[in-house]
Amino acid sequence: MSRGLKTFSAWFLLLFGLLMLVYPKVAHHPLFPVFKYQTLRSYHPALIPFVYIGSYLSRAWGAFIFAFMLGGIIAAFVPSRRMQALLSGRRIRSYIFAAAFAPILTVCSCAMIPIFGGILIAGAGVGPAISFLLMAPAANFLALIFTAEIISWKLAVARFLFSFIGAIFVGYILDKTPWAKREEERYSRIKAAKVSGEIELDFHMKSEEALREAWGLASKALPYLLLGVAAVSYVEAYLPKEVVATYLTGLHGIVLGAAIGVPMYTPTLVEVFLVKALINLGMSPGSALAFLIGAPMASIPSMLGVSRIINWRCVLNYAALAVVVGIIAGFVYMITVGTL
Amino acid sequence: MKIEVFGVGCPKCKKTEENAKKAVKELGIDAEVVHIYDQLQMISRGITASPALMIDGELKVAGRVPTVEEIKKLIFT
Repeated sequence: MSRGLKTFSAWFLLLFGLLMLVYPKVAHHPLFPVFKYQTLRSYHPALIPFVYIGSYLSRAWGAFIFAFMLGGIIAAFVPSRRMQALLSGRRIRSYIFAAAFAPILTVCSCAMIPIFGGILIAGAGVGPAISFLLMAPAANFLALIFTAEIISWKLAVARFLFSFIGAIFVGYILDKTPWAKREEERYSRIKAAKVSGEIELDFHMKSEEALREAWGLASKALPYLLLGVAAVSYVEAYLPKEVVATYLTGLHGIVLGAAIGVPMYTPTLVEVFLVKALINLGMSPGSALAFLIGAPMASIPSMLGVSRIINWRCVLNYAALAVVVGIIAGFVYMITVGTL
Repeated sequence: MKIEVFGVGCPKCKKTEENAKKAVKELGIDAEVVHIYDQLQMISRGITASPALMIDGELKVAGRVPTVEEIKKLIFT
């Protein structure tokens, strides 16, 4: 493929995806017939995952193209190193920057721990590093686009706002603990390595890079996403409504919603589909929000990864506080907004 | 010559290692390519983006996958 064609494809896919995402909303009329989820159980059990995935693909393919291409473009064009430098400024400011930049600095989850370490050795301290770490999975832009598209835009906005405030709050509290101070001293002695003799990339090269990044992102996420959604299809078809109504509504529903996500690790984006299925079965919006914030913030794989860098006391404390943030978010949402 | 690739096990990091090995092979030079997965070691050496490429202890690329051609050029400078 020639360079011009690659540059064109990258930006064309972004615009095309956006158009397909926006069109049904402006025209008030879906591109494909809307699937009735109540009929799911009438299919043969072996067919359920396929029917289910098909229904989402016909509805959200625009969002898929847009979200993954945007991920590629952000990865290639956003000056991440310059943004990382801002995170190491004055203390209060670095908390805000850490939480604000996290959604776009971590398009690929593998960037999370290196940047986390980068904030530590830049001298900004454990607090802003934790804020970054919590915000990145709970409110990255991929998760937000899918929350808005699959569940509702109100819940997506709430997910962003509560994750933002919660991440800063947990980071700030943890920063005051003696365990955090110890880590801060340990890491402040390290100096960040500088890149020497780097090649400057032009617009074409960056667009090409964006296309590669988008493909990498999609090919990494899609297999797990499809498997995850297939599993969710059985939850939606066979989990009795009474169970959801008993456990995932009301006050205790919010507490359970925030806590069940911790041991139940879901791959990237699968949490959105799972919550949507549970909402269809009767989960309350407050409980849904608590899950969407608590589960990614305190997921066990990320805790294991981080425990290599900072001590276990810090890790367990931030995870416990993240669950509390999920509960508070769900509760506030229940009494202020209440609907999807 | 020592070429170090820092990664966290993601596909991009593996691709970087592959490209580095290919560059060394095509140039026919005597160089060792090692892949470091340990996050603590990565941070201790001041690396804050993955994948990253170090040649003889000097950081050359951080946060993206360099092409084979690019690595060849970096080896010579």
